Amino acid sequence: MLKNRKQSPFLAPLLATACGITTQAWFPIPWPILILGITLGITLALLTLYKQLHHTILTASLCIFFGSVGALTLCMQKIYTTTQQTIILNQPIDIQATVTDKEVWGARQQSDVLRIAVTSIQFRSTHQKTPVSFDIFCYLPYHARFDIGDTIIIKDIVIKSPNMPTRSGNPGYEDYLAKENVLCSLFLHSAGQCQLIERPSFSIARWLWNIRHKSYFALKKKLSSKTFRYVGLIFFGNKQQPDITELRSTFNLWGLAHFLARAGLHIVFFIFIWTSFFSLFPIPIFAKRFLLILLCFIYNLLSWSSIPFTRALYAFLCIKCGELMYQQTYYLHILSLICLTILLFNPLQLFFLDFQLSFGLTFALIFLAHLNHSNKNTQRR
Amino acid sequence: MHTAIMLNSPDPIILILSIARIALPIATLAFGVTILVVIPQLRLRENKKDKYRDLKAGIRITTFHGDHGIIDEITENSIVMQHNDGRKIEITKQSIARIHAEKS
Repeated sequence: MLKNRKQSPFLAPLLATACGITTQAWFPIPWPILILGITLGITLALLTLYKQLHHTILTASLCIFFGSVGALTLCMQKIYTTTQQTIILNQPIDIQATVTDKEVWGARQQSDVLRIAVTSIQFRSTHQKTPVSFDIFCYLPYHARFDIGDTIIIKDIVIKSPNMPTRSGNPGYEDYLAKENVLCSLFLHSAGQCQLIERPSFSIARWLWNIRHKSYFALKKKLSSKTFRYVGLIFFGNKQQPDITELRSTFNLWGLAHFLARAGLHIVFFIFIWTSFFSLFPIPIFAKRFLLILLCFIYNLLSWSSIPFTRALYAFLCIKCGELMYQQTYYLHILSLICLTILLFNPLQLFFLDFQLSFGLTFALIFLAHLNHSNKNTQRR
Repeated sequence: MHTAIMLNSPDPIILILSIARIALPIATLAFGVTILVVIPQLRLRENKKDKYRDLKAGIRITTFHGDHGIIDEITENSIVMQHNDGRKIEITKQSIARIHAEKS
């Protein structure tokens, strides 16, 4: 099966997973039926392998299996969100959480948005404490004095359902939050509601966040504002910059807005620069490859993440790991596997434009390249 | 993602879902890779072993290089092939592209 480079063995399972997720989103299927589908798929696949039946039967059984798994993952994601919401919605609670991310927010840059990982809630009516695990976007009308890794308590809040269906039928804000693994967003008006409980003496997350922001703002001082906006967008992937509306509208006018998004091409630039630099030093190729993987990891940690960047990074890491282990790799197989992994862990990604464009365009480019290659081969014969 | 396994959750649904949301994709990927990559590779290796097991002196073979000849002698990893003009060369078993019928 692996001999055919044009057809990845994971392509049929990937399409089946995407179909399963889409079907589940439009026509929800009860989870017992999906588990039945998974069992049927596994049984058929194993039977086909054992009896050495035709390969089409194996593909069909795997499609049933992956389609059912895709639908079940979406079903689980929705049930998980709904169950967590029913515990906390519409009643006064105190929440204890850890700050995981902090960004400046708003046009005037005078507000902060915190991403907090809630660890426990306490109902104000019964004083009962319940352990939970979900994230919340917390919008503050002032600059928060909290750091990453701090444990905070937010007192006397009522969380309401973020249900806002769109007229166009596109995913609403609730779906966006579920995709980001965030339960809801919270707008706090007074500083007294939020209190610091504990600040760890050392936190890796805080250390990384500080390095990322220090290097980002150090560049801001050295570059002109226009250049810095480009660098921030393209190399750091920070889309929350002030005054980029003008830049975005100019690029929209040219139809080149995607150039502002950090994608695979930018990691290619990064790798090209480092590879050229390493070529000046006579060190073993193994060490060069290992260093390149390490640098890409550091680059990922010190910049803002996005789906196209994650795709490019994982693909690069898979290819380099293959080279390190002296194994042959094919980009189509790797891309299919990465796409499948992302969809299985976060099925809601399928309905968002960044995921669709990133993977859709990359797959289209690979198929066109194969088509071009086979046409050239035919002409030579 | 900040998904964590909620082992201390009092709600059994959340406990099961938090485990399943991590375990199901991992198990699915492991199953898929085993069925689509590992088993075909193992079968391919087994088939190759079977192919070399049937080799014996006197069988006509073709190498990937395009050389034709008859097996003269077989060792553990290599074989000695005799060309039509009588020349003998030693080749590895993996370089055999096609096994023809036995020399009559």
